[in-house]
Amino acid sequence: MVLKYPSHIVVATSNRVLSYSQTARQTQDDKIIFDLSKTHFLTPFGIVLLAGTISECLSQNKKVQYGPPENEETKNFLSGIGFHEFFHLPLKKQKIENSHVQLRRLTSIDYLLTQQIVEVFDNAITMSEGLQGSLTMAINEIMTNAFDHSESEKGCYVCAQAYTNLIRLCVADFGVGLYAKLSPKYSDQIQDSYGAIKLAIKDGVTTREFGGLGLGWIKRLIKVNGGQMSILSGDGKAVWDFRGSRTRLKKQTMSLPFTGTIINLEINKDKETLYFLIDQEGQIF
Amino acid sequence: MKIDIQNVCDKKMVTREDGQIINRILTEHWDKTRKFHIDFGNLLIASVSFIDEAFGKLAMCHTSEDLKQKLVFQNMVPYDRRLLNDILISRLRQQTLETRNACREAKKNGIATA
Repeated sequence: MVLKYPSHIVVATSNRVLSYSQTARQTQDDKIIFDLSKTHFLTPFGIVLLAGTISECLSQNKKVQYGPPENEETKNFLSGIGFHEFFHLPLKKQKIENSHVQLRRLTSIDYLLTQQIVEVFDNAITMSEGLQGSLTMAINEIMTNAFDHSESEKGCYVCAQAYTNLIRLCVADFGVGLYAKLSPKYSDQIQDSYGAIKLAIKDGVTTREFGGLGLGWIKRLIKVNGGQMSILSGDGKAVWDFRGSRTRLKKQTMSLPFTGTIINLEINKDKETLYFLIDQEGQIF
Repeated sequence: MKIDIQNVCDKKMVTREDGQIINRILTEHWDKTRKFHIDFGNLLIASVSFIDEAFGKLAMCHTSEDLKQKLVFQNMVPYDRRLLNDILISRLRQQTLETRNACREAKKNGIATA
């Protein structure tokens, strides 16, 4: 089976690339070629999705072949973040600018990685104290969620990049997905994966006895920041887009359900704002 | 009573489980302690899970006046103080007769919730 990836592997092309991922994981073919020859732009979303998919196929003892991007810059970038090294591919490791964090697979929460991401980004784009705190909170919460709820045997994949005025961060687990996790407890409130994604960001929704504030807080951060949050799980995709003057919540149904959950954040660089909105008079401490 | 977060959690990073430990200490000593001085050592926590487990749970059982009277937060970075306030206000809004009764029952049975 040959999977020919598009020129851009980004959230906007998620329907196609998620179906590639799911096809690769489910196929009976024992040989899969991941052809990235025409790919010249990948965001952290594309990188974690590819890394997780290739890892899954390798763990199923499938023979994996990889066609690197013809575009030298893209190939060097992938080498630089450790993508090729990750799969022991014989492609020379490149040195890249320090606005990128190495691709990582985590099997437990790694707060040192959070620190590292924040430090790298602070060096690259100089963040406000508020943004540092918010970013730390967001990464910690997404990792906590992945390990608390995904039931993923292989943990989760994390990748982050800083651009001139933007940070992109993506965490993907290849676990059971939000609908499977939430539906036993909230069967009366959700009918599909999209419903499960929307419910998951509501305060107090959790499969634990107590908790369920994390994703809601991240949404608030993105809202105040004027950024974008995408959650993809099963056949559902929800994108909260706060970049323009009008907030948009976009719903999409994937052609092939993806087993797992991907959370992708786009956060603006901001020098001033602290991301909490409570009424100052209502403060307790 | 003084609670040093870094000493109790024994590291520079805290988890949801660490929050449960702090909550257990507060709950066990709540009635017999006049004030808890909770020292964050200027460590950036930035964890909803930790703060919610440690202190958010208390706000499901007690009034904001009770919390103000008993808890003193020291050496807390501004970011965490805002996060703490936000979580407490959110949990206070969720407090109902039912949650207060659940807290009383848990207390009677010796289960640490708040």
